Amino acid sequence: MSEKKHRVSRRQFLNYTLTGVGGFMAAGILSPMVRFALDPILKEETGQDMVAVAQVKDITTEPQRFDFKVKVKDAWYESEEPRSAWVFKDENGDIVALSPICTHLGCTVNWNGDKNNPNRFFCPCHYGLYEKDGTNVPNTPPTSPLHRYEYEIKDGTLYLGKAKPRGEA
Amino acid sequence: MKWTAKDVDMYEQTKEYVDTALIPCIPIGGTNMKAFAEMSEHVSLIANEVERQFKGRVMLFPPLTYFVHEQVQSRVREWTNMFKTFGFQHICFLTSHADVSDETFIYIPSLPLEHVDESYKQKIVRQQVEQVMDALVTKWTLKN
Repeated sequence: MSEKKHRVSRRQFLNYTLTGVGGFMAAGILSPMVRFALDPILKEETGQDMVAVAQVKDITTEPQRFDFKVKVKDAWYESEEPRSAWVFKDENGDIVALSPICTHLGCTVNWNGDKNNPNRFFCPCHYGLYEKDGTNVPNTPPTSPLHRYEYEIKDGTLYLGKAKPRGEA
Repeated sequence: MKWTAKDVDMYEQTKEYVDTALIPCIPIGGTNMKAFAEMSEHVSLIANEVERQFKGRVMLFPPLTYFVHEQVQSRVREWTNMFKTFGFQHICFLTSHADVSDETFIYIPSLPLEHVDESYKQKIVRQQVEQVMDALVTKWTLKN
C-alpha cells in the first residue's frame, strides 16, 4: 500500500532527472565564474617580501648607502626595481634604515651632500635638508621626514621591507 | 619624472620645480647595427637611472631618434627651442654617439657590457650616472 503511494510517475521521474542534471550543468558553469569574480578578494595581500640588504657588522653610526633590488609585479609583468637605503645605528644602538626618497618631489638625497650643511641629508634638486634621524629641516622644501624601512635581522643579516612614513614603521 | 600620464599629472602641479628636460639621443644605423643598439640600450639605462635620482627636478622625455646620416644638430636646436617655450631652463641631450657629441650634448661612452660581470657593470654604470648628475648639478649652480 505504501508502495503505491510512493510510486514515481514517468513525468515526475523525468522532472527530477532533468532538474538534477540541469542543476549540475549550471553549477559547473557558474562556479568558476563566481570564483573568478571573488578571486581578488580571496587573494591574500602579497606584502612585499623582506630583502637581504647588508651585514649587521658593516653597519656603523655613520649612515651608509646600500643598494638593493626588489621584485615588483605590475599586473603580469614582473620586474626588478633598484632601491637604496641609508642605514646607520642611532645612539641607542638601534638600526635605522631611511629611504633616500626626498618627501618633496622624490629625488634621491645624499648624506653630507652639501659642504655647508655637514651631518645632514641633502637633496640636490631643491636644496632640501634632513637631520640624521630623517627629520626635515624647517624652511627647506620638504614638509615631512624621510620614510623609514621596516627591518628585520636574521643571522646577522639586515632585511628591509617596505618604506613607511615615520610613526608607522 | 617620466613622460607618462601619471608623472605628467604630477608635473602640471609642480611645474615651478621642474626646470630640466633630459633627452636621450638614439642613432640608428644600417651598418654595424649592433653598436648602435648598444648605444641605445646604454643611453636609456643611464637616462633612467639619472631620472630616478633627480625625479623631482628632471623630466625625462622620449628619445630623439635619428638616422646616422641625418643632421641631428639642427634638430637638437629645434628641440631646445621648443622645450624653452615649454618653460624648461636646462635642456640636456644625452648621447653615446661619439660622432655628434659636441658641447650641447652630455657624452657617455657606451661600453660593451654584455659579457661583463654584474657587480662590475653596476660600478661602471654608477660612475657614468654620477658623471651625468654632476654635469646637471653644475648647470643648476651656474644658473643660480
